[in-house]
Order: sequence, then C-alpha cells, then structure tokens
Amino acid sequence: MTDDTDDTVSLKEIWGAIPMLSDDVQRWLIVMDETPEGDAEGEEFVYRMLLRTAVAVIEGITFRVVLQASVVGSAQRPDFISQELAKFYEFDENGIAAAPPERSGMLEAIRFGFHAYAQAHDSDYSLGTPDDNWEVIDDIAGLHQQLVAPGRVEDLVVTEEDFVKISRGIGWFLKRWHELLFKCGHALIETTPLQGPVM
Amino acid sequence: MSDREEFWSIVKRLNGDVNRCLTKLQATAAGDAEKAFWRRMYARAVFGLIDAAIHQMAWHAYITRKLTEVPFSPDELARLETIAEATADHMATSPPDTSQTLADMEFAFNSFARVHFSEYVLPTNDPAWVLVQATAALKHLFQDPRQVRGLAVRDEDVGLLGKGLQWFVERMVDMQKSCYQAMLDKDELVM
Repeated sequence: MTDDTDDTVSLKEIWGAIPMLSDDVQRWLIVMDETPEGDAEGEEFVYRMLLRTAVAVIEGITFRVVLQASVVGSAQRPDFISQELAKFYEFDENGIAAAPPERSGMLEAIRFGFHAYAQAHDSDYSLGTPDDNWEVIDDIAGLHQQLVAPGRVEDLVVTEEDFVKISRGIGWFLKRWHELLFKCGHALIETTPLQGPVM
Repeated sequence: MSDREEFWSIVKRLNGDVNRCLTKLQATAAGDAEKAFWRRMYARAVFGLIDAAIHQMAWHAYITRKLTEVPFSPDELARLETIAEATADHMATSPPDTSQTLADMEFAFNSFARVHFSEYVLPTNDPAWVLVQATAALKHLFQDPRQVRGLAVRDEDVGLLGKGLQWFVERMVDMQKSCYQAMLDKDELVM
C-alpha cells in the first residue's frame, strides 16, 4: 500500500481505484466459475469474498460521487454543501466529506449521492421510483453487516440465493452509475455556453 | 454449541478464507496480475477476520455481563449496547470507524476478560504490538472508502499482515485460557 503524505489528490486519482474494484468483482465471478461443482466450502468462500468486494465497490463509488458533487457544486454555489450535502455527510473545514453515510442506509446514501451529483452538474437525473432492485441493495447491506458483526457462525453463510442477489444488485448499481455519468455529461454539454467565434 | 465453540467456529471459518487467499496467492506466478488481486483479497480476508473477532469478543462480553453482573461504566455499557444492537438487527447504526480498530480491539479483549473475572489485559507493551499497529494502519487505508490511494497491497504487506494476524489470534487464545482459568477458580464456568 502507498503511504503518500501529500494530501493533494486529483479527481482522476480519486476515481482511479474504482476500475480496480470493479475488476475484482469480475474476477470473483470467474473464480466462481472455476470452483468445482460440489465444493460447498469453496462456493461459500467465493460468496463471502464477492459480497465484501461488492460492498467496497458500492461504498467507494457512492463516496466519490458525493465528494465530486461537493467539489463541483461548491465551485458554482457557495452554499451547495450546507444546503444540499450536509443533510447526509459531515464535512471537514476544507469542505471535504469527512464521514461516510450509515451502512444501514446504503440505498438512501446512493439516492442522496446520485441526486447531489446530478444537481452539481445541472442535471435532473433521478434514480426513479422504487423497484425490486432497491430492496436488493438493502439486502446486500444486511448480508454484509452479518459478516462484519456475526452473532452466530450461521451468520457467515452466504447462500447461492444471496449470490444471485449480490450479482443483480451490483449490476443494477453500476448500470445506474454509468447512467448518471452519461446524463450529467450530457447536461454539461447542454448548459456550457459556446466559446469562440460562432460560425 | 457453547458460546466458546461458537466463537472459535467463527474465527476458524474466516481464517479458512484467509488461508484460501494465501494458497491462491502462493500458487500464482510472480508478476501475474492475478497476484495483485490475491494480495488484495488476502488483505480483505484478514481484515474481515479481525473485524468479526473484535465484534464477537465485545458481543460475548455484552451477553455474559448480564449473567455475571460485572460492572461497566455508562460509556462502556453504551458501547456494548451499540454492538449488541448491530448483532441482533444485522443493521449498523454507523459503519465501523476504521481509524478506531486498535481502540476497539483493546476494548473487546479487556471487556471479554472482565466479564469472565480474568485480569487479562491486551499486552500493548509487547514489542510485537507494532505489527498490530501496522496491520491496523493498512486496514484503515484499505477499508475506509475515503482513502483513495490505499488499495494496492505489496508483497511485504502480506508478510506483515500474516504476522499481525498471528499475534492477534495468539492473544485471543491466551485471553480465553486466562478466562477459563479464572472461571474455574471462581467456580462459575459458563463459557
């Protein structure tokens, strides 16, 4: 691990870890395919590790979405953090998100983060109305909490049914995130005044 | 299954994940991109074991406190109750503060010992404690979503994490032996 004492981090660096995390999820799916049929312990191991990795992806992206929203939004509106972001995140004296959202409200954190990001980029993007996928995100948060705070050894068991939920949830989340980036990029093009001579 | 057996079953199961990652890491050729993946997953598995074991110790301290009526300060009690709620509901009131791993570890060890009438205290003056401090520092870099530069795990980190984890598990064994003896001495074996 790097131990760089320079606190200055570019947006490119901030997002740099995400492809690696997403690749790790893909790799677990490959490891799953390679796990011999009938190897129950092997499957359980993969399910647990996939769950840990999927949550890292969701938390990592959600945090970065809020962080970028705070940087972009406050550049346009000085009250952006206090008006839009402070409801959910704590910010340090430099206006940087200091406390991540509560894990019990992972879905709400996603909704909030995406909304803030859209606002900061002048987009009306919305996650839409609740559907089955929203419940899956809450299920994933609950399953992960069982791994972090197990009461019994059974809490460590992630089933094939859970595996399907995790795969579906992470797929849904990444799709919505790409949608957010696309819509916000589109909004940026529409709202940016033309520079230079008009033909 | 007794509480003690439950505790070690959880540790054993998660240690199995650590060993599987290490086996895969050792079986992967040097320079292979897969190697970096397995180093990261080894770290993730080690941190998962540490988190769950800390939680288990505090959770058992909370349950056993009700039976043995060992006094705790209001702050300590509040801390134990937060842990108990997280276990019962499978919902966290807040994500683990990864900068607090060492403090949580000490609290969990010492609370567990106290409710079993043991005077065991986590030996943070042991020279090897630096290994656990380094492990906790890596854990913070790796697990906190705010840390943007900490996802790469080097070969030397793997060695360090292995030694840190070994010290941590050995101290859990020592602590539980001490608790067992204390309960025998007191004739209140409920572990």
